[in-house]
Parts: sequence; C-alpha cells; structure tokens
Amino acid sequence: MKKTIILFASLLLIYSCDNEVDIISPVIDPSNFLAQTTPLPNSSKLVIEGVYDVLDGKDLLGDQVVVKWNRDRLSIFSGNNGGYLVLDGGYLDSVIFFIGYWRYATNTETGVASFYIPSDEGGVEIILGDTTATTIRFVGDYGVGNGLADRTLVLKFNRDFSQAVKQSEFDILAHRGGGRNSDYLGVSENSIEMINIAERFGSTGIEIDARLSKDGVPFLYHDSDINLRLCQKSLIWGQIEDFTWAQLRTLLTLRNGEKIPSLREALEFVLEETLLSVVWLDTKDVDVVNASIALLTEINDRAITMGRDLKIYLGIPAQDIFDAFAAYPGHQQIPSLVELTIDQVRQVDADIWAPRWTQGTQNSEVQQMHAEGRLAFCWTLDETSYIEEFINEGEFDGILTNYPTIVSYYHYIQQ
Amino acid sequence: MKIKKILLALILYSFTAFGQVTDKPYTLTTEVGLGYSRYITTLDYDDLNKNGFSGTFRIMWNPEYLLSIGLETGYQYLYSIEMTNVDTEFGTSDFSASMVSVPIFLAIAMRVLPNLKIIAGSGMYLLYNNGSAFGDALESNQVSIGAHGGIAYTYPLNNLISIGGELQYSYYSKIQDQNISLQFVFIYQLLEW
Repeated sequence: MKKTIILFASLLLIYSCDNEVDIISPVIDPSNFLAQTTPLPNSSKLVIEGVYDVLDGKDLLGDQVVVKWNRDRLSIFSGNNGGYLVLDGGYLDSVIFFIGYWRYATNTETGVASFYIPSDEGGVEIILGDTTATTIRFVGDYGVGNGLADRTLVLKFNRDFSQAVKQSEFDILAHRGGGRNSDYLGVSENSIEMINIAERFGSTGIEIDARLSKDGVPFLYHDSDINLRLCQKSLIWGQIEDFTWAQLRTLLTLRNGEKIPSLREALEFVLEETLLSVVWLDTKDVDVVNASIALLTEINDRAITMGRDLKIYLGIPAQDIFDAFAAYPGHQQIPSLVELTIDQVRQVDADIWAPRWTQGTQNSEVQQMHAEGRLAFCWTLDETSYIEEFINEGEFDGILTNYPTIVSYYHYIQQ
Repeated sequence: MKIKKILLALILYSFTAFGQVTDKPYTLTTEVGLGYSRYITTLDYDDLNKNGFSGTFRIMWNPEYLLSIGLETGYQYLYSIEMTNVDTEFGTSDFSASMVSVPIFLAIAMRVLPNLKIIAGSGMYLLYNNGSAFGDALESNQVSIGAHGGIAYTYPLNNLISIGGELQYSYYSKIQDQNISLQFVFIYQLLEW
C-alpha cells in the first residue's frame, strides 16, 4: 500500500512539473517616438561602444556595463544577474534617444528602459562620428514589469574596449539559434525569429539543430518527438521524423507561434539578413548528415562570393555521426566541428574541437589545436563564475552558451 | 490538509468497514467496459470531432479488504478531423487526422459502498496518430504518462457476474488534454481461492 501511495504521489508530482511561466513583455515606445528620430550612421555607432561606469542604477546593473552595437540595436551588458538592455535608437537635433527594455538573463525580471545622450555630453560628437569623444553620458530611466520608467539610470563612459578585445576573434555562440524556450525570450528556439534577435544578446554566432523530414528535407528542431516544450498543440503527434516537410510546415506551429524553418531558410537568413559569422550546425541524427553537408557547402560558397564573413560548420556530436562523416567522400574539405576526442578531430581533419565545458579549460589541448591551425570552442557554458574563469584563464576561441549576454559582458570588459 | 484527512479516512474505512472474512477471501475478476468518449482539448478546429468510442479491459485482484489492484488496458478515441481543399504554401490539399490512445495502467479500486467503487489508475498511454496530408500518410505514435480516476456502480447478477456503469476522467500528460468516458461495465469472476 505504501509503495502504491508513493507511486501515485510521484506521478502527481511529475504531472505538476509543467510550470507555465507568464513573463511580462514590456510595452516599448508606445507613442512611437523613435519614428521622429533619424537613425544613427554606422560611424556614430562605434563611438558609443565601450565600458561605462554606472553612476545611478547600480541596483539594476552593478558598477560597470559594456555598451555594444549589434547590427541594428544597442545592447548593454552587465555582470548583475546577466542583466542586459536592448535598445533602439536615433537622434533628433543633437540629442540621441534610446528606447527598449532590460532583462535579467538568469530569471524573468524585465521592464522598460529609455535613455538620452545630451548634446553637450557626447551627443554632438557621436552624431559627427568623433572618435575622441570620451565624455559620453547616458541619462535615463527604467521600470519594473509593466510599470512606468520611474527609476533613474545614468551611465558614464569609462574606457574604450581594450586592444586585446578589439583584436580578438573570440566567438560568442548562442545555443539553439539564440536561446532556449525555457529562457522566455518571446520567440521560439531554432526559429528564424530567434536567429533574427540573436545578435542583440551579443552573439557572433549561433548553434542550430538539424533533423531530416520523412521526405528528405532538413529542418531545424531539437527533440526527437513533437512535444509541448517546443510546439503548440497540433493535430499531429509522434516522432518528428515520421512526417513529411509539407506536413510539418503546415500542421505544426512552434511554441511561440512561428512556423518550423527548413535548414535552407535558416542558413539563407543568416547569410542574407544578419552579420553572424559562425553557424554550428548540430546534426541530431545520422540521416541528416549528407543533406546538411550539401546545404552548408552551398551557403559557404555563396558567402565567399558575397564577401561575407560567415562560416558554417557541421557539428559532429556522436560516434555514429562521426562515422557517417568520415565515410563521406572529401570530408576533409568540409568545415566541421567535432565534439569527441582530439584524435578524432585529427582523423577527419576537423576545423574545430569542441569539448564539453565540464572537462575544464584544457589549455594544453587547446594549445595543441591552435598549433595545428584549428580552433577550440567549449559547450554549453551557462554558469556565470565559470564563464568568467574560462574567459580570463582559458584559451578557447569561442563559448557556446544559453546566456550570450553574460559571455559578452566578461569578454568585452577584459583589460 | 482536508484532503489528507479524507484520504486517510477512506483508507482506514477500506480496511475496516466492509472487511469480509470468508473461506475464500481472494478473487480474480475481469472487467470489460464499453461506451462513449469525449475528448476535452484546447485544440481550436471547428470540424474537430471529439466524440467517439471507448473501451476498458481490466484484470483485478480483490483481497478480503475493500481495495483491489490490477492491470488495465483499453482503447480511447480522442479526436478526428477531415478538411478538404485547404490552401497552403504547398498548394491545395485535403487533410485527415485522428488520434486514439491505449492505456497500460496499474489500476486501484476501492469499494466505498456495497455496489459503488472508486477507481484510479496511472501508467502510460500509447498515442496513435493517423491520417493523411498532401497525399502522404500521417502515421506516428508516442508514449505519454497519464492517469485516470472514476466511479463505478455495479450490480451483481449472480455470484460470478456483475454489470453496471462507470464514469471515468483521463489525463494525458504529454498532450496536456483530458478525456471523459461513460461505459457500460461487465464484470466476471475468473477465480476465487
């Protein structure tokens, strides 16, 4: 009897584990004020970047923040709970305005934020693209939840990024296209919409997951089955690879309402619409290897033709996929990333070795890879203290993470 | 706290109130239920048919106490839909889809009145998805943990056979939907010892 009661209690516990988190989406720029401003030219954007002291608002952001443009948004990264801001901006007369939101990466706290840079505290110089401007001051407010922006936030330029950072080719790789569904970013993992916002979190590259439909079309999806973690309720259930591409595309909707993307759509979007420079194409099943190789080869060639700094690597996470890749004719010419041993990296002449972060910084092995002209990434590092340690003491060329905002902070703040 | 007290009272009651001491206190019964099933879902399709057939098959061990334990399987219709001439990015297509479930459960029943018992079960549902779209079959299956609870009224026709009715609520964890079924129940005593 006791065992039966325990069994039922355990099952009830399992059923109650599906906690729906209702995260607030702050209303940004409700009066469409930014439409009256002029977008900043690219020369002005670089002037703003750097490390800033937090004069007011330390409760939210800590003592220092990193200010960095990422394609179309200004991002601010802090070391406090992985806090970050994503801001859209423009100038009116000689005052620069920013409106957006803040968010803690490690929990669901968020709110609106708005700033301006006064004309006599950097506004004029920034608009003119004056790179000697060092008196930049952001003056603004932030709110909590759907509340008004009624708390003061003031940032003052401290220094430019260090030469080491400027010369670094360190890659910040966002997991599942930019973040997981469990990070509540408002868009679904492995979707075009997620890839579109990945750079706002400081990502220079993304990791995406590829599977193959029943009729041979590679598409983005992580799990082996249709489930409510990734999808909305639909008429089809079961193993994802049991369905044709047309069936998946038409009958399945991702968690936040997006259509499931084909691998081609995703890679073409990266190529044509973003500035991302690395794609880690994680093959979830051995069946998708050949189709992925054909597609990444085509897109890599197009990137070269366009003069685009982009490289797509075939991720090899398991032995069966390794064997399939090793058997592929001319595999040595295909950009690849091996998560297995160093010897296997050498065996297929992979470009990148990617061990799990829990194995430590492994500087000696990373140096061996560097000596052989290869790169080394580690995955999937989310712990703030280890992110700091790996950046300051490790020699990896990139970190795959669910929290690119935290990696960005510790990378750009390096002296 | 109140629920805890009620549960405790029911358990104590089961060991005392109707305890029967006979020469052959143990019986093994087989129970067959057939009836109507109604799927409860947030799936939003106008043409979704949520009414169908359900069947239950149980083998229960009944000791001298009021609690019985056994194994259960069966069939539950969940939904079906047919749509014609649907415009999609791949052209116009007819769709059909349906899903049924087969439980494989550990079931527990407790007699709360001489002819009335409550039944609960938990285990896994095998979910079978079928249909067609774009000229290709939809065919897949999935496992979901699940549970059901219900109440049954049975009337003994003789020492071996009882008949009655059972109302049952089922929950499917994987798809987070529910089902209610109303079944005619036939119970036959296979063994006693």
